[in-house]
Amino acid sequence: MSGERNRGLRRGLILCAALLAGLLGYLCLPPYEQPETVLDESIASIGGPFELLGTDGDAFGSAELRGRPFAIFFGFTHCPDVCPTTLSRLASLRQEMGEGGDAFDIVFVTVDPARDTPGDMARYLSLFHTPIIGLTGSEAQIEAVKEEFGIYAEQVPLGNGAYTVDHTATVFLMDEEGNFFSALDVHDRNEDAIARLRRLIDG
Amino acid sequence: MRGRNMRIALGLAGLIGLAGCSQSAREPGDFAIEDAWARAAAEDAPVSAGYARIENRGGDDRLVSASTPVAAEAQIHSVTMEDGVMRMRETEGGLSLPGGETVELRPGGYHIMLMQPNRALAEGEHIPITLTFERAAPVTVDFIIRPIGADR
Repeated sequence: MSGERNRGLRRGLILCAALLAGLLGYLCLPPYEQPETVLDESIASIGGPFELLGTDGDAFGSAELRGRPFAIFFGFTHCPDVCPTTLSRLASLRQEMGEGGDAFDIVFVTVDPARDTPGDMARYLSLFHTPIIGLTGSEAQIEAVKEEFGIYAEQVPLGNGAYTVDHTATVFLMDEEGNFFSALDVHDRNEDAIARLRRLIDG
Repeated sequence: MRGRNMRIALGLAGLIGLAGCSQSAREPGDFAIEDAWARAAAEDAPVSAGYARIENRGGDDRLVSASTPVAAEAQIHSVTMEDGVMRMRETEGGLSLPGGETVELRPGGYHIMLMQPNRALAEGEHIPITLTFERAAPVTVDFIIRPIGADR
């Protein structure tokens, strides 16, 4: 009788210990962090094959970018501030580089495929006075390319049914094989950005 | 003689005090709004953004809303960049304009987002944007249209 009770007690203690260990383990886990954008060990895995739609509405795959390095930036056409400023900065860096400035492509991928049709992308990009490859696609295609590049994007309402999209605004520099080379940040000085672009095109 | 000096000193102190009082109770509505510009937009473009430098020479106030005949709606937004992620939000209760200070709406900071412009906005033209304040009377300012990617 008492042996049975002891066994029950022991079982209870073991269960408690297991629960405690589980709780401790959970507490010791690193806290959840927002998906990293750059500068961690996942950096080498940034990029990968994708299938999207060009501004003409035709399929555009990552294979079409092979052979030339490119700077790729994710945004959306309803973005009034950071997206046009970043695209325009890439255009002016290209211009400042002079010779060789046209040796890399500028690629703009929407994180808002529900609103950005190929036509919208074409009209938007036509204002930048420099060739920019605009890409949209189905929700699934955009999800896939976002994952390849580790892009965080989340819709946030602005009232009256309008919304904005919080998103990773880092520019990734990819080599002619489509592998990650480096990144540009809004805070980079122009000469640093140009030096990095030169290293990119010099391979 | 000493008494007269004292009276002058007191009078001066009083004047300075009065000046101080009027300083803290300055009337609203004395704004110098400069370098007002907005981004070019293509036909059917969904958005544009307006920027300006607002010097408030009067008392504390707030920019609470904006409107323009060329867009369905205008909102006052802040943009932040953290860990490489861009976030844009409507400012709650508008934008604070402390008396005697200059607040700059500029790329990567604050802007007036023009939603659904009803026509293309071409570089070089001017559009009117009416700024509504908490205390001061509304002011309509001419914003010049600069290239879509202008950063100032």
